[in-house]
Amino acid sequence: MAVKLNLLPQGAVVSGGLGKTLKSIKSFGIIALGIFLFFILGVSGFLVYSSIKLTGLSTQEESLKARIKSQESREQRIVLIKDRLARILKVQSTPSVQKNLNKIEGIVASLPEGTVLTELSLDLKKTDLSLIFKSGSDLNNFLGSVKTKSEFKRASLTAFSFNPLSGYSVGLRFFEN
Amino acid sequence: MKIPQNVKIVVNSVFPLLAVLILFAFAGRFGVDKISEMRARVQKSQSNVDAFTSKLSVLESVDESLSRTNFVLSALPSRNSSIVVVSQLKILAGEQGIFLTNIKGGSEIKDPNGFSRVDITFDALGVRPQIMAFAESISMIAPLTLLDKIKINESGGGVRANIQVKSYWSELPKSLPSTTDQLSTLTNDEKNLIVEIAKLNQPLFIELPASVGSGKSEPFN
Repeated sequence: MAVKLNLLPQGAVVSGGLGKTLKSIKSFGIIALGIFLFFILGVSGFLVYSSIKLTGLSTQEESLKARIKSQESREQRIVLIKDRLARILKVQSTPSVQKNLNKIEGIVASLPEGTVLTELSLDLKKTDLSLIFKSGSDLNNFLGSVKTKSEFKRASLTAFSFNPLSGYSVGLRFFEN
Repeated sequence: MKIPQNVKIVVNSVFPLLAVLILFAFAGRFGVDKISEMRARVQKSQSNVDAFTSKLSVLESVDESLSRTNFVLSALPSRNSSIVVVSQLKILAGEQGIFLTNIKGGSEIKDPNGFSRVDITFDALGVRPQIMAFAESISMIAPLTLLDKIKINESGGGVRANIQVKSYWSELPKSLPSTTDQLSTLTNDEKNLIVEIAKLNQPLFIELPASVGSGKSEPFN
């Protein structure tokens, strides 16, 4: 029969269950220490790797900055061109009578011979044309061509008179819409 | 005070785990903070490098269009363009064989779109086809000039046209974008616009060279 011997002093003895728990805690402590050391190593490694990378990037950054600085005049020109082009587009989109002048030019060019253009007035709001036709057939032909060929959406007769000496005096107003 | 032996045993077993946990709490937090900080710095530095690289490639790739800066500047100058426009109109009138008179330039008008403009009025004398051709080619001169009003009166074969044009200018940009700001290359539309602008009748500029006189060797004698 086995004899249980305890050579330790009575105060240094812990009960069986607690002893096992303490043993487990001690083991846990050792494992946790291992994990902690591993974590510290990992963090240190990452920081060293990152700082090396950061130094490389900083060097690259400085060199690129210097190259960009050396191209400053080129950059100024690009900025200038882009600024001007954006503004030029705005100017070009500003309304002008150029388009209507081109349209009316087509009408004026097809006037019958002997027809007098007394007045042509274009502004941003209206396009007025005053003409004197020698004969009624000239007037008819012209009005017919205005109706079929004109690039304006609408035209209205604003004045009409007849003088046996000069002929038919006609006032027309053209509309874009 | 004497600590009992069994308490010592408990402390000896528990203390290492407790110490490691406390260390974890502090060092772990510190480590994680440092990692995040370092990652942010690397990320920022990397994005700067990317931005600089792309900017540099734009700067090195735009070449041909830069030689046309003068065309763009003469189309929309930085100062009052009225004198240049009048000169251009006179040249155009000479080419069309018409005569300009009563030329008047107004004062500067601030446009809501951010540029300045001046209205120029004048009378053009000649025959109808030339007057029409002249009016149509006004849009072909640099600085950009728009036809605002035209009133043509015809009598006895002669034509008098009262014309009002608008000419524009705008201040130059005052600052460059920051180094990290992206710089986009010229788009195809912008390149086409430059080609279109280059076709405008350019003003005649006279460049006066700086005087290089010998001067006095002793300016105070």
